[in-house]
Amino acid sequence: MLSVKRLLKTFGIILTALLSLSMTVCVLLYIVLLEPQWFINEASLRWASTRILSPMGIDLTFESLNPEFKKESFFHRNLTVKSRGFQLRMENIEIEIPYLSLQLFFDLNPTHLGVTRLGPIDVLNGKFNMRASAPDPASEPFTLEGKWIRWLDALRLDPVHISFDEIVFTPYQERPITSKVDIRLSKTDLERVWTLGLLVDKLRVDLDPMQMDLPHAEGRVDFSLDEKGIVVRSLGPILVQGESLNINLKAPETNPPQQPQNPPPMAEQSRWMEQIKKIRLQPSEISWNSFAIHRPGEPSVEGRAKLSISKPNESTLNVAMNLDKVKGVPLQSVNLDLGMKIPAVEGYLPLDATIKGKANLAKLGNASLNGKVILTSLEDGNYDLNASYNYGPSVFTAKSQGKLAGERFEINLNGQVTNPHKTLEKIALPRCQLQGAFGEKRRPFLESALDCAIALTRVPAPAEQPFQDLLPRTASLSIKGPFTIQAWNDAPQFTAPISVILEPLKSEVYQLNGKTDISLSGVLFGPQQSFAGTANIDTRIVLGSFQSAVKRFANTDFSIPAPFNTFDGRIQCGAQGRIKLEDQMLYLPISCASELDSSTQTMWIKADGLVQTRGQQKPLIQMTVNLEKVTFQLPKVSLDEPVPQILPDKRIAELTEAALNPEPVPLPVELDIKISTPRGRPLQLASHLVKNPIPIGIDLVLKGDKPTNSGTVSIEDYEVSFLKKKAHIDHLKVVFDPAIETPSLDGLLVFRDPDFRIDLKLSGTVSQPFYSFESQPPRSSSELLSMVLFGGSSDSLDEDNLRSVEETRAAMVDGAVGLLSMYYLASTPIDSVGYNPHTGVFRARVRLGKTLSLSVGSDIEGLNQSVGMRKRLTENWSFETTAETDEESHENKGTAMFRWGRRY
Amino acid sequence: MLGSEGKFSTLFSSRKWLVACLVFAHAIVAQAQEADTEINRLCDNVIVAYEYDLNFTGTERRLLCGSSGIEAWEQIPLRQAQFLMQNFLEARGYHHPVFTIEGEQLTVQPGIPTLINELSTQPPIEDLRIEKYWLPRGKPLTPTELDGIEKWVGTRLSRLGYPCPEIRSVGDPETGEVIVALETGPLWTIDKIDADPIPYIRGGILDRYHAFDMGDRYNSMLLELSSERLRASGAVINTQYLPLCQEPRPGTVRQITFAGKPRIVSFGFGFDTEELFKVRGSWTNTRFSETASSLDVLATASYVSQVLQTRFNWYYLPFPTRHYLKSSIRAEREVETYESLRLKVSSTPAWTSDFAGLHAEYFVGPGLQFESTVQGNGPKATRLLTLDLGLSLESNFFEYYRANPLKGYQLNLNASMSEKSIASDVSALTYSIDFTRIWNLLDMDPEIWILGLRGNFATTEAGRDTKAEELPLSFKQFLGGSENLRGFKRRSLPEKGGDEAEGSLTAAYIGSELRLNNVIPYKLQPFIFADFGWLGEQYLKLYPRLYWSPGLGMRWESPIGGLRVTAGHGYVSGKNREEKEGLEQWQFYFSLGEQF
Repeated sequence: MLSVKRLLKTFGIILTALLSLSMTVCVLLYIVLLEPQWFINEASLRWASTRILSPMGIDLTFESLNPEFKKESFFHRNLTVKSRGFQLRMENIEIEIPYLSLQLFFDLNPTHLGVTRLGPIDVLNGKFNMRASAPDPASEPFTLEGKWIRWLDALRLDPVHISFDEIVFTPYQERPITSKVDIRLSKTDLERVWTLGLLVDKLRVDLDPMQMDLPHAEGRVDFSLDEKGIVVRSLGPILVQGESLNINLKAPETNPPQQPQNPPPMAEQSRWMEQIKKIRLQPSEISWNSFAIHRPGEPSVEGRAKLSISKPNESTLNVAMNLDKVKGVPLQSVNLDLGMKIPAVEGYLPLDATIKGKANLAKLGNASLNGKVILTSLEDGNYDLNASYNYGPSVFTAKSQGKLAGERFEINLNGQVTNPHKTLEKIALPRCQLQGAFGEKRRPFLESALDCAIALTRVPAPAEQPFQDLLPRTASLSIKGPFTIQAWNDAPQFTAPISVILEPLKSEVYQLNGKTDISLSGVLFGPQQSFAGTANIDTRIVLGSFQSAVKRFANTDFSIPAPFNTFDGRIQCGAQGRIKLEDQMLYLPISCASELDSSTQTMWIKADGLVQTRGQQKPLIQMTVNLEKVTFQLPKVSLDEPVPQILPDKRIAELTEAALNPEPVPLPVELDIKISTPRGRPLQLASHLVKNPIPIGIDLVLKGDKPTNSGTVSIEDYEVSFLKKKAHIDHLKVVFDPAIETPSLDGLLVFRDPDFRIDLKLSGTVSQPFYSFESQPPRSSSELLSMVLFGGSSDSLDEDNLRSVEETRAAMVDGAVGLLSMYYLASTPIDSVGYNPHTGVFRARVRLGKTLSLSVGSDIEGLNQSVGMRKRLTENWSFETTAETDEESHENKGTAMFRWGRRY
Repeated sequence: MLGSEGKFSTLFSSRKWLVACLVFAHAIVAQAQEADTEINRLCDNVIVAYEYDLNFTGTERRLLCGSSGIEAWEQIPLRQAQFLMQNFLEARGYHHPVFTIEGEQLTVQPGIPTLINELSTQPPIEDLRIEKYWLPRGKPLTPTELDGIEKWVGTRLSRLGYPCPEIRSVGDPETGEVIVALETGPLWTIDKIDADPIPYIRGGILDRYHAFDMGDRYNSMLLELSSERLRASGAVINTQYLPLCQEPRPGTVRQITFAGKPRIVSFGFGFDTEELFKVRGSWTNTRFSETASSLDVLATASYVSQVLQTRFNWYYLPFPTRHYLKSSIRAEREVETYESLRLKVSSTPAWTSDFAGLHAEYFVGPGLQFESTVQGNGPKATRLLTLDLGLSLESNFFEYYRANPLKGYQLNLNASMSEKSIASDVSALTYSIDFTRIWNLLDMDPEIWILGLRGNFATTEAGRDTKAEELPLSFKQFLGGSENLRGFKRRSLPEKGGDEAEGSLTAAYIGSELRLNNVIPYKLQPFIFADFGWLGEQYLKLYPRLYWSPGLGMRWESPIGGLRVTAGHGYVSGKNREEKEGLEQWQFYFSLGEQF
């Protein structure tokens, strides 16, 4: 019994507790369901604010907060909250809302518990201030989960209007962003399409990489939700009216190279493409009155920008971009219109796009591009593009059409450039066709044929006006040949044997032909990338009749000078050989030959050589010039006159450091030119001064980019009348040595009598020749000089002649008798010779006739300061004027006497 | 000397001169007009549009117009002619010619020649004093002128001790500025003379003619002076000193000498300033011994004077020295305002030396003289045993520029003494001092204004038991003539006749001359002068009467020597001037070879 009693008691207690709990729950349910304002009211909220929220660091205040609960049905309630002077302050957030009105519908049915309808909500004239805290690396980005998407999709929304007169958001360690924002959100019940309207005023951003002043921006977006997230239905109109935008770019950090990020998978791209296609895009416009992009180490890019996007129908997307007042880059303004027909089916094919744009590149000119591309599939399509560009006087226009049909393709290009260079008026490409086939599985992968024609039109230089007929303004080239790629793999190999043919250029003077066969091969890319090529060149220019050139150039700036203008014959030059383009090496054999003659002259010259590039070094021109048969006639000169100045004197020039310390200017090429006369056939110089032409052997090498001579110019085995005697030039060599500034001399003249032989040896340099005499039987050099200079032994000479002999000897030893002076001495009767070693003046008076005499060399003050003056009249007679002092009377006397004198 | 009072002035005043001048001027103008049409057209194809004749040579004309008979050069294209013409004009200082080719005709307008207006060196060398080198300034900038400038710089550097410079000049055709870029090379001292041996002459003997010492700084002027001395001595025909620039060590000078034969025989005729026509014959042995002593016999004869003389300069010491024994025998007949016969034998030791830029020569020794006055107030026969003394100083500059005096000075002092008790008929002491000083005023190079000053003072004392009138005329002093008072006739003072004695015992003279050089064409050098002289009848006393003669003249540096013409007017002032009024007249002189 006890146990039953106890059991009953226990049961009673439990039952009582259950009843109490049930009643409590019922009471609570009643209160929640029927009288929630009992515990959710302004007083309880104030209490909770001070007692619960305040200790948690949340400061919630309001002037009034009046929640009203209305019963819609048994389970459905409507909560209306109206508040004035609502303020919420947390650690990083401060919200101040002067007026707040909010309606919330919720279902209290335990099976559907939740908010069922929201709105209308009005948050007016609020203020929002938020300071971002340090980012938490562990935090994950917010994603909208599926249940929330479903809830939002089911939620009924009445218009929501939130306006903040002031929003201040301060990113972590940055300056605040301020703005005025007006947000309107609505949703249709049937389509469940959300409409978000956003209006931003006075947005100011002052962050480290970007500063922005946006007075006004507004936009609208319609979207819906599905299980994958937000689906934009309609975008726009969007209007952004920015005032200023500054972006500071930072110098790229020298981080280790990162692996390139993989592009989004095609499925993802396709999904976005599909979304874009479905979006109804309302006309939108984004404009910035001024923007500036500050680039480290480079000028800032500034300007004004405007971007308009419209989608007039579902399959058409138009984008217009306009930039103007641009500074900092060679671009002043850009207008670009892009129209694209979006395919109705999935994917981005068929693609039908048109583009039209133009750009003002400031000093670099203007450019425009328009065209159309239709790609129905990856194996079928065509394009048509027109481009133009003008820069200064240059205008570039080009048209290109192409089509793709299965494996076959064809590209046609034509266009022209006018005034591309000051010497070219036009480069025209009237025709250029590349057609062929390609396919990933076909072998070869690509085979095509190139067929192009190029026409060059040059600008006639003013000086060339008279030569229009000689220098054709237009040159036409044709380029033909196949281009083949064997396989499209990691190392695609190509071959391209191309033929370049120059249309013959003809004039009354010359004919120019040219043909080049170029064979190119290699690997297009990859680690084994390579390029090899050879060009077989056959170019030839021929002057058939030199006299026709002489006549044609007569009375022009390029008239052929004497003595060359009397020649007639043929000149032919050509480059016939192979150029190897491997490793940027050029190897071009060239040759030239002349066969020119006149009644007194001959010029048969043959030259062979090559032009070669050698990597970083200057190109090398190697030539061997053989003067096969050359005879020139020298002009008539008079020995009784000074030598005329044939060439400009380099000392008469603008006073520059270069003029005072002249250094040879290096050529852009390096020369290695050998000039020689064949053995036994020297160059002949004919002169009225000598009976037989002077044979001159040449063996010279011209080397370097500051060309220096080495080798010899020589006269050998020549009989000459020298120093009034018959003499034999055994040899007379001018030896050029790059190490010695002035060419050196090596010569031997032999004077022969039946029982006497005198050798005159030349040494020293051209500018300072030395002479020495030797004889068999031996005689002193003065004795020998007397014999050759005055034709007799010194015993038979008077004192003046002896003095002349000795001064000549001194000058010879000193190298003061130049070759020309020596020639004069040798060729004419000598009156007297004077030499001053201290001024270097060598002066010879030579008798040219009975009354005529000439001074060779020059005299300056100080040469003759002797007490008296003596003029030789005949071999022993002279006229003297002297100042004498009488030994006895000490009187000074001037004396003038005719004097005969002789030493013995 | 060509001098006669009044004749030239009569000639100048003649109307014949006026007519002659007009005819000459007409000829010049006619020639110029004719030249205008000829010189402008060098040939059918080439015309020079210029008012002056540019004097193209025959070779130049052939190169411009073609050479007939030389097939290859018969036809000269006009462009080639233009190129050549440009160079020919450059050679004449025309650097901005304008060429016009019309049809087959080339016309050139030479334009204005560029004149040299600034001259400098790089680097600047103060001692060069190039700012004083005015000669090329204002002259056309031509290659020849640049050659001259380079040679001038080279010459000046060689006098400063740099015989082996490298010189390059550049002239700006626009501005006319010329800069001479130079590298002087090392500074030389004369360390070694590498001389040719002379047959039969001891080595180094001829070094006595050196104007320098070993170890001296190189100066080309002193080397030239040394050459000139040696040539003038006749010991050798010629000698030259050459700096050996190619030698690794600077300082070696090579002397090239041509000795020739030692004996010279000569004969001549001509005239001199004082004696008009004269003949001369001589025989000389310039290398009489291993020490190059000289012996000569000289005979000259003119209307005024006849001389037979034998001289022997004996370098008796067997080593190089500047000391020698100077001996001579001289017989002379002199016909001036008086007539005298004279025989003198002398033998004196003499020395020469060079120091401090001076050349000195001095001697002292006995002489025996016989003199007879044939006509005039002198003694009929006089024998004198004299002690003669002479000292001559001459600066190197004076010696170097003696042919054309530019600067320097010289001083001569001579004295002769005889005593009646020592083999002489009279006792007399006579001495004279004369000097010349030449200044290059403004120190221009070459000189422009040359100022010369010369003077002489001579006096004779009649000794114990000797009256003045007993002294031979060679002990008397005279003034007048081109060598002192150029406004008076030669040796016309004191005036002959009356009570006055023949000659004076004391005479003093000072003369000055200012000459303009290198400015007037044709090497004409006008000058003005003023000479002043005093005489005295007693030893060391001058009578207070001044004889002076201002005047002007012209010097011409002719191809055969310096030619001078002077016109001076003699004046007398001072005590008893009126007694000498008859001496005041114009006097003209013409001379060849005289330098002052």
